[in-house]
Amino acid sequence: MVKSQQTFGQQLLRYGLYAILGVAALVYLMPLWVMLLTSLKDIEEIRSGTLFSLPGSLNFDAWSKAWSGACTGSTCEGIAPFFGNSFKIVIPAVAISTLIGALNGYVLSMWRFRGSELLFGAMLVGCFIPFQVILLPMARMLATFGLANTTTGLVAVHITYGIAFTTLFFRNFYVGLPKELIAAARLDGAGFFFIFRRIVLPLSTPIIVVCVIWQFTQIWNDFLFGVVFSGGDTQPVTVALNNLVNTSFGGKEYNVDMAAALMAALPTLVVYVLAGKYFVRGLTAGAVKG
Amino acid sequence: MSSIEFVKIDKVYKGLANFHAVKGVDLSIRDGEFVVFVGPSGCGKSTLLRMIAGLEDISGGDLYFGAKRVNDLTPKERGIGMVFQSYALYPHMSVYENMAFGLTLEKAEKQTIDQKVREVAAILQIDHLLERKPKELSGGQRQRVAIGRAIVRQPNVFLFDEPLSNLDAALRVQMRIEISKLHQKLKTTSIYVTHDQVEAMTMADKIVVLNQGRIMQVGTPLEIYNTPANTFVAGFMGSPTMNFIKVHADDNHLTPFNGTDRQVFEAPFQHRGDATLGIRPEHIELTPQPGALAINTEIAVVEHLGNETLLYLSTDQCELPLVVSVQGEQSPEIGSSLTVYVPPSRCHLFDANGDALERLDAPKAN
Repeated sequence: MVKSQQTFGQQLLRYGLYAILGVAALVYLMPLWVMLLTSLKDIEEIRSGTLFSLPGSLNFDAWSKAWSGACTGSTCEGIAPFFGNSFKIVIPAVAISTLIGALNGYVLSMWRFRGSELLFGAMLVGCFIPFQVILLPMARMLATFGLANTTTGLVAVHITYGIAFTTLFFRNFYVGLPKELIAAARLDGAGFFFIFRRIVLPLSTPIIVVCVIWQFTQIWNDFLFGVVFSGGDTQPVTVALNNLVNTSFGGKEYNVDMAAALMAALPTLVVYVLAGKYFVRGLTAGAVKG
Repeated sequence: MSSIEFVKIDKVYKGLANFHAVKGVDLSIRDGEFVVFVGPSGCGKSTLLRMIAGLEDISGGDLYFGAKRVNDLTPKERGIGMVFQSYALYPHMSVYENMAFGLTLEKAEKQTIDQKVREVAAILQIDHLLERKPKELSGGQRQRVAIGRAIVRQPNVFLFDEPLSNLDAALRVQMRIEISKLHQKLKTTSIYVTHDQVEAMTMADKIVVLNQGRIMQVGTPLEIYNTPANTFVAGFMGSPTMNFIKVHADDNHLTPFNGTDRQVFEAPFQHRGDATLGIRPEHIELTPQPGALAINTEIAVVEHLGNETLLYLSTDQCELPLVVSVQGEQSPEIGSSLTVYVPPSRCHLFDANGDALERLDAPKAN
């Protein structure tokens, strides 16, 4: 009797838990759902219906306008060209910062030298410097090197800022690799870069995935550096999105805004879906293996 | 192949407090010898090995391979093959690639590499595993691959860093014998680090006992067992460990220090003053012996190992319980009293510093 009551209580707790989780999931998904609905309606439907009312028909006009026709400031070519800008920034910045991070991590974990721990600690500080603090000095520096308002300049800023994080990731991953692996390779006659290329990098897949997801998301979603350091034709998509939303002739086109925002968010979502499995695995790999 | 000569080798780890890991080690290793470094953890045996390999800098002294000083040579230039405790196989490469890695780096011809790898694989009976990845192998197989990777390049010197400590007991015995056989076949100078004294006793041509960065004794396994140079070696080598009894020596008359029963007995030593008498558990007798020191004890613990029985006896003659090893199965009653006899012929005597005193009846060293 007592036992069945207990199980009933436990069951109740369990369902309560599911309910709470369900509500939490709904709360998080709601904005996305509203965005999706709104992007598929026309202006008339938006004005007459409620936030949650379904669109009368699937209407992708807002999507195509956001992609290629909406006005972002002075030009009216949609966000398509800025998508290209973002990729031109993200791809080299992610690749280079990941590579440098891997090399740094390799040195800081496998080839320790006097003061290497201190150097690592100093690099970590880089993770905690707020973006705003470096805006002015960075602007001066980019101007000095003739990189102001260029894609190259923006890439350089993102690499510089990313190295602290990528170094942290790789260093902590490599600390978990057995040092004897490096010793064995040295006895086999392999040198510094050979060991890196042939032994260490092939074992780094999980942490490379983590690093790429992290960096891709950070750089793709960046607005502050984009708005400060880019010129009119080198703006990333986040800045274009802002301009699109703030540029209005007559009434606000919420459906176009939503469609543009969804498109701008799509690449990071795709990267996460494709590699998310590795992301979780990579983040915990060091902790479990020890 | 090469002989190895250590001349006053030092290793200091610089830091806030300098750590002197290896202190003035002098040692000669003959060409083709199988030498075992043994000692407790932190005694500097692995550091010494890594200095031979070139993985650690040498802080002071000279290291020679043959007539060549190798202090400043890279690991590769020294021609070292090393087997690690964790095997350290490259996880992303097949067994074949693991073994061929060093040869590929030497830019050997593909055909030569293939021939050598297959030859070594056949010796180690891993030729059917060549395409597998390390994670698909058992512990013993991984160990063989690690050994194969080390010998395929025909090194001057073989180094083993506790290679068997990750294996289970049965496999350990088997691999121990195989490594010994392999050494007989290849006759490469080998240095083997272990804390397992059975491995040391069974495999070594020469044992080097280390403690706190210093060499305590160098000798053949039986020299180490029969004539330990000091109380450290006497206590470290041999299982169960040697019994020590504090005595007062007056020439060849010894009187136990503690205890109520102060009998004097004669042993073939020449010493005056405080000393420590050492007797191995397997050398204590249960039947009266002429001239032996009789000790009255009480049985505290009995351990049955099957082939022998260990008796832990409490007595007022020494602080630790006296351990006696008896052949076969015995079931004496715990708490009953027992008189044991220490024959002078199997006694060791150490002076107040712990250094062994020479037996007067010892056969003169040639």
